[in-house]
Amino acid sequence: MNCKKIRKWLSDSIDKELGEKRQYILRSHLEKCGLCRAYQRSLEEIQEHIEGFEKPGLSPEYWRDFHFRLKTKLISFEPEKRTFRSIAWQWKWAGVVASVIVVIAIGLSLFFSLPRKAAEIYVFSFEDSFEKVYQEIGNNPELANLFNLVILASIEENLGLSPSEINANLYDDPLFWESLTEEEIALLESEIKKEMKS
Amino acid sequence: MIGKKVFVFALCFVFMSVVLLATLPGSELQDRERIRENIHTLRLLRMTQALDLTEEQTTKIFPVMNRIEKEKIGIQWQIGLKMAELKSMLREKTAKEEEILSIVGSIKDLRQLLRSKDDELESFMEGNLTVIQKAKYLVFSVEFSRGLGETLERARMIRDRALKKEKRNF
Repeated sequence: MNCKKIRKWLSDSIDKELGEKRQYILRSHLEKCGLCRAYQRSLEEIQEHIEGFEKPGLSPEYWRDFHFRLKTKLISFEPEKRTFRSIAWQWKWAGVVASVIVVIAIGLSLFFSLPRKAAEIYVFSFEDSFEKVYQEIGNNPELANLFNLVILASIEENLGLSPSEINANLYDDPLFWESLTEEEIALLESEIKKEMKS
Repeated sequence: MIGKKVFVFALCFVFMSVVLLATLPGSELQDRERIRENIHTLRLLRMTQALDLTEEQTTKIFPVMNRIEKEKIGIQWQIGLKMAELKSMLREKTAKEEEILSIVGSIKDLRQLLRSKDDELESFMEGNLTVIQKAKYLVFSVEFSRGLGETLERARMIRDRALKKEKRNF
């Protein structure tokens, strides 16, 4: 038999809560097991000590008012508990509201601090517009030449020259051809092939 | 009608000569002036369309515009020379204050002269355009200026793409 189980039964036996069959098994185990007998003795000693203690002398008046006092204490304690909870709840909401306010404030400050789209500058004078463009070109003859070619192409277009004449200068410029992407070249190639077939 | 055709023909001639001059090696025309002339030509063409100028108006307006433009180019030349002179004076640090002051004064005068040419053109246009054309002229001036910026952007794009392609092939 398992000693652990026997020791539990021993406790039940002291409390007189063990059945007859188990009492028999317990007795036959104790006859064989010295350790469990020692445990039984220690339990019995503790039990004897406990029985030797004096019971507290509480008067019947004490018990008569006990319920009333307990109730009163509970009532006085409950609101405190509720208040604490509600305060915690309120703080939680206050936190949420504060976060929302902070987010809105940050959003608004960012919105107002962002640089406004610069108001459009109207340049009326030809002199000013030319100067502006030429300043942007700066000391860059390559860009100046390309710009000039694009202007020439626009003039040709406005003069109503034939499509072959239009952009002739631009097309003569190797830089223009170098600027074409692979897709654009492929497209041109396919268009030329189509033209040649027809 | 014939006048307008003659004008367009003349413009074509001027344009072709500019193109020819521009393509000649060692052309005397400076890049800046060449570009300026081309822009001026484009401006005249676009303005004719945008303002819907009549034949009578073109024969009146364009000669004046061309004259003023030529005068302005001349003034710009002088400003360029004076500026170069001023820069060299400042670089060498040997020039007297009076000399510097004289150059500064003449540059200021030339700038004023340039402005007066613009004013002259504006007042001339005022007298030769209808109310609607005057309004269209204002809008056109702004849009043309913006268009120049866009053209420059186009040229820049072509250059950048060519450079990228060159790098890739390299």
